[in-house]
Order: sequence, then C-alpha cells, then structure tokens
Amino acid sequence: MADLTGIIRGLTDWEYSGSISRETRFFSDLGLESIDAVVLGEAIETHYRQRFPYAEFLATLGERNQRDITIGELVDFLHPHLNGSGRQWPSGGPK
Amino acid sequence: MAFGGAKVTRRCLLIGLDGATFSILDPLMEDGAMPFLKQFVESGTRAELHSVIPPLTPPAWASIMTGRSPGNHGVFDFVTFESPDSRYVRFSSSSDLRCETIWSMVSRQGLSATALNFPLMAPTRPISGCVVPGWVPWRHLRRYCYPNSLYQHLQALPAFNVKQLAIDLDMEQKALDGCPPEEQVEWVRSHLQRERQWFEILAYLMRTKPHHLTAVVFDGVDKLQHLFWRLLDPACPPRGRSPWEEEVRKLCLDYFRRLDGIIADVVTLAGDGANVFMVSDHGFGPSQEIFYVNNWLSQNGYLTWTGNGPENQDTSTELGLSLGMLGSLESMIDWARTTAYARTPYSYGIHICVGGRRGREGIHEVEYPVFRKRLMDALGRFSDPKSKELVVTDVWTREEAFPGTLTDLAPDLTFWLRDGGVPSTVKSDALLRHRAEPVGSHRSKGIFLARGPAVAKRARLPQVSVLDVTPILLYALGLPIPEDLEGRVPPEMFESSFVRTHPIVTGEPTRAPEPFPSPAADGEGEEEVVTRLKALGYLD
Repeated sequence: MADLTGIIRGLTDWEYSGSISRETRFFSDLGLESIDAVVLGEAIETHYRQRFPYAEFLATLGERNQRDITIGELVDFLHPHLNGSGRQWPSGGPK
Repeated sequence: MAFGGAKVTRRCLLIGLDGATFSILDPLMEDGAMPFLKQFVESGTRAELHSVIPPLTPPAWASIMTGRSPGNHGVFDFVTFESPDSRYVRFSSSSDLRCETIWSMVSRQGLSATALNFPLMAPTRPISGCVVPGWVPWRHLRRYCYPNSLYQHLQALPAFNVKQLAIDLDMEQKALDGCPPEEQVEWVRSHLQRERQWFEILAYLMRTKPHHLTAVVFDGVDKLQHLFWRLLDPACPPRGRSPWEEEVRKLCLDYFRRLDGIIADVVTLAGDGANVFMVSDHGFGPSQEIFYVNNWLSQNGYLTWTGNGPENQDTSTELGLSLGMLGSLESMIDWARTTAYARTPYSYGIHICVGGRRGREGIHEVEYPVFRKRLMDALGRFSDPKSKELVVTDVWTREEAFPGTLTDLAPDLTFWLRDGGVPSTVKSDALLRHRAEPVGSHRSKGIFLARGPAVAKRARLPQVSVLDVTPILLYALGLPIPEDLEGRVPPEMFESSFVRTHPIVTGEPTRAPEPFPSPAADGEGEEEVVTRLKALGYLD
C-alpha cells in the first residue's frame, strides 16, 4: 500500500493533497484518466521488477458496471503476485 | 582536422521528422515554405529512407535507435501481449526493446547523448546524458525524465508547459479517426505548440549540457499528414475546397514554415562543426479505402463475434484504435469459435489462435503450417467485389517479415493493402469502404538528409535503410560499428577525404539491456551515473 501510494504520488504536477486509503478511487477521487491507470502498470512493474497480468486486471474491471478502481482493489490484485501465490509467467520474467 | 574548410568534431545532431516524405517536403521547399530545408538539401546529401515492414512508428524508430530489425529488437506495434500466455495487451515500452540503443552504445564508449521525444524510452534507462521520453502522458513525465532532477530544470524554463509537451492520446486518435471541424484549427495549433515546447528543451540542453550526440523527434508532421493529406498533397486537386479548408491548409503550411524555422535554429545551435542528419521513420501517401480485416476473417470462418460491444456500421473512419476498443475486443470475440483475429489496425497483423499458446482455444499445434498457408492464400485472393481487383497485395509469414531471435513475438501473418490504407479491426457490416476524402497513411519510403563537414556535398544516394542510421551516426562520431548491427555505413555518404582518413571500423557486439530499466535515483550526478553504468556492465 505504501509502495503504491509512493508511485502514485510521484505523478507529475499532481494537485491531489488528500490522504490515500484503500477506498480512494482512481478517477473520481484522484482525478486520474484511464490512460494514467494504464501507464501506471509499467511504473508498478518497473518498481517491483516483475510483470503482473495488469492489462487483464484492467480489462476485467472494464467489463463491470462500476468502472472506477479503488486503491484497495489494486493492492489486492498485486499482493498474491508479490508473495508468489499469483499466476507466474512461464518464462519467470518479462516476455 | 579540416574538411572543406570546417573543423570536424565528434558532434552529431539527429533531427527526427516523424512521417516526413519527399512528396510533401519537395513542393513545400519549391514553394518557399521551407527555405532552410531547401538550402540544407541542396548543400548536403539526400536519400530515400526505407522503413521496416510494416512502416509503423514504434518498430521503425526502434530500428533507427538500435540498428536492428524488429525480429531482433522485439517491437512490432504500439502494444504488445503482456505475457507469453496472454491475449491481453499493454503499451510497448523500453522493457520491450531488447537491443541496445545508440544512446547506450555512445555512453559506454565515453561519449554522451541527449534523446528527446523518442518512443520506447520510458521507463528510462541510464545513459551518460539526458533523456526526455516521447509517448508519455503528462502525469508520468517527471518520473521518466533522466536524470530525474532534469524535470525541475525543465519546469523552470519560461514557456514550459507539460500538458502541451506530452502526448495526448485523444489528440493522437483524431489524426486517424477524424477531428470535428470546429476543433481542427486548435488541433493544428496544438502540434505547433508541442514542437515549440520540444525545441525550447532542446535549445536549453544544447546551451547548458551539450553532448556528443543530440537527437530529437518532431512528430507533428505525421499527424497533419494523416488528417489533412488532401490539403497538403499537390497531387490532390484543389478544386472544390471550401473557404474553411483553405483556412486549415494555410494553418498547415504555417506549421511547416515554423517547423523550418525551428530546424534552422537547432542546426545553428549545433554549430558548423556538427554533422547533422534528418530522418523520418516512414513515408506517407494517400489512402481512401478501409479493409475490415476482422469482418473478412469472420465471413471466411476464422472469427466469430459474440454480439457484445460496439458495432461500427455508420462511422466509416473508425479503425479500432482507441483504448476502449483494444480492451473490448476481448469480449467481442467468441474465442471458442475463433482461430484467427487482428488485434490492432496498425500492425497489419493477424494472430492465429493455437491451443495452449494464449488460451486453450484454437487449432492444434500440428495443424499450424497448413492452416497458416491456407489463411495466407485466402487473404491474398481477397478482391474488391466491384472491380474484382486484388485488395491485399502482400502477405508475409512472420519468418519472412521478421527474421531474428524474437520472431515468435510477431503476428503470425502480416499483410499490405493496395492503396496503403490502414485496416480496421472493428465489427462492421462491410468488408471494404471508401472514404469520401483521401487521408494520409504510412508508406515505406521516408526521408534521409545529411549535411556537415564530414558529409558529401550535393550528393543523392539511391536508398538508405532505417537500419543504417545507427551505424552512420556511430561512424560520424568516430566510434566502431558493433558487429551485430544489421545496417551499414554507405561510404559515398561521406566526403571521400574523410573516408580515407577515417576507415569504417567494426567493433565488439552490442550489449543486451537488462529486462527492467533501473531508473536513476533523484539527484544522481554524472559520477554516480558512470558508476552505475559500470556496475551494469555498460562501461569498462
């Protein structure tokens, strides 16, 4: 959660000064755009130096009625991959 | 050492003009809209620059930056599959570029570089020099400037405006999918503002942090040609232009006039001792046809739609480029009853579903060669229902189009169309549509221009490849050409006296970058960068 908050707070000229919690929403609360959520995936992967099925995660969220993403949902998505219980890439790394 | 009266130094300037083509630039130079470029061309060397297959921005710039072909550098499209077993795609990034860039080659041989607005540079890799990557949305730009502290300096520039500088995907999409008339004037102006922003950064860095190799891409040429080809190409008859179109044409010409001024200022800043090169990643030409490739696959039994998602029966300009379309394709296709599909328009690529590769669905692995040949032949036979002319002029297997170590990442088939148009991936009620007006689309033949103390005067070469750009720059900088580069240095491009005293030397192979870039820490200085480069094996 702290890592993710740090990555998000690293955005350019970002006016948001409020607190970030599990319930904070990407678009409605943080004022981000869909492209920001997409590009954030690369920043997260670079930070952890591993790939996640991030595009699949975003696409799954896009199919539901509630189009916004909460920080908690992103944390819950990343967590199993970081502790090794998530799906592993066949190559063990990017590509 | 002096050649032709000017001192040869180890400094090079590379100006990238995305999508620039002689069929537009030559008339602009003749009509007086680009006087500096005219003078530059007349006194230096000129050649057509052959792009990659298909002539697309990310793989072409990647080849320019690495001297390697897509089958080896691994970039085939704006997007890439996010893993070997996934059908989902993400934007291509620096981690997908699997070959060393010229900025790194220069850095590890003791020289330095500035690279501005090149695609596939984010997340940034450490070099000796500065990088401001292109194709990064404004909110992510600070994170990806290299070194990180550079962004603070840019912010202090009087006219700096990060929103004008950075890519705006909505604006990009309008170049391809159309721009409402009421927005067109502002749309053209916004591109000029972007070029001005990049110029201000370039000028600041050239004055305060000069490096041996300075490189920048100006990308408005591509966008204006896409949307307003009919107003720019002298071959398109002007009769019937509305006063509004005349106004937009004037604005476009003003863009090229001002771009000419920017180029003149950059070349002046580089000084007489610098060798200057201008390249485009691909050329351009008119297109008036849309081929709905997924609909063709559907009608021929290769693809089944689910019935979900948007249908595009009325908007003939919709190609399927949006973020939403990339995501919704997953739910629009019935994967259990689909054996082949096109993921994106610009790759001109078709992916074959093989069971066990990207999902369980698809043909058996053993069927692949015969299946692919059958699909290839069928696609090559597709003809215009009205004229009976063939629509698909070329179909390549991935081994033919993308030989190399990363062939398996490429689409199974790549095709090209009779009028050079971009296919559409959306669901439609038609296989072919004709646009009311021609638009601009990519072509293989771009531009190569060079001038400087080492460059041949008033020379015209038949053809240069995008693969040659890195070897040419390394040679002009006095560095050996790594033995694994796929391009060459055409000796006739340089003054014969220069070639005699500066033999073309082949050197050690390039070094593959680590899978994930290691961005510099905040405030990292040049000494720390050198230490880091050494630790990464980039410097001896």
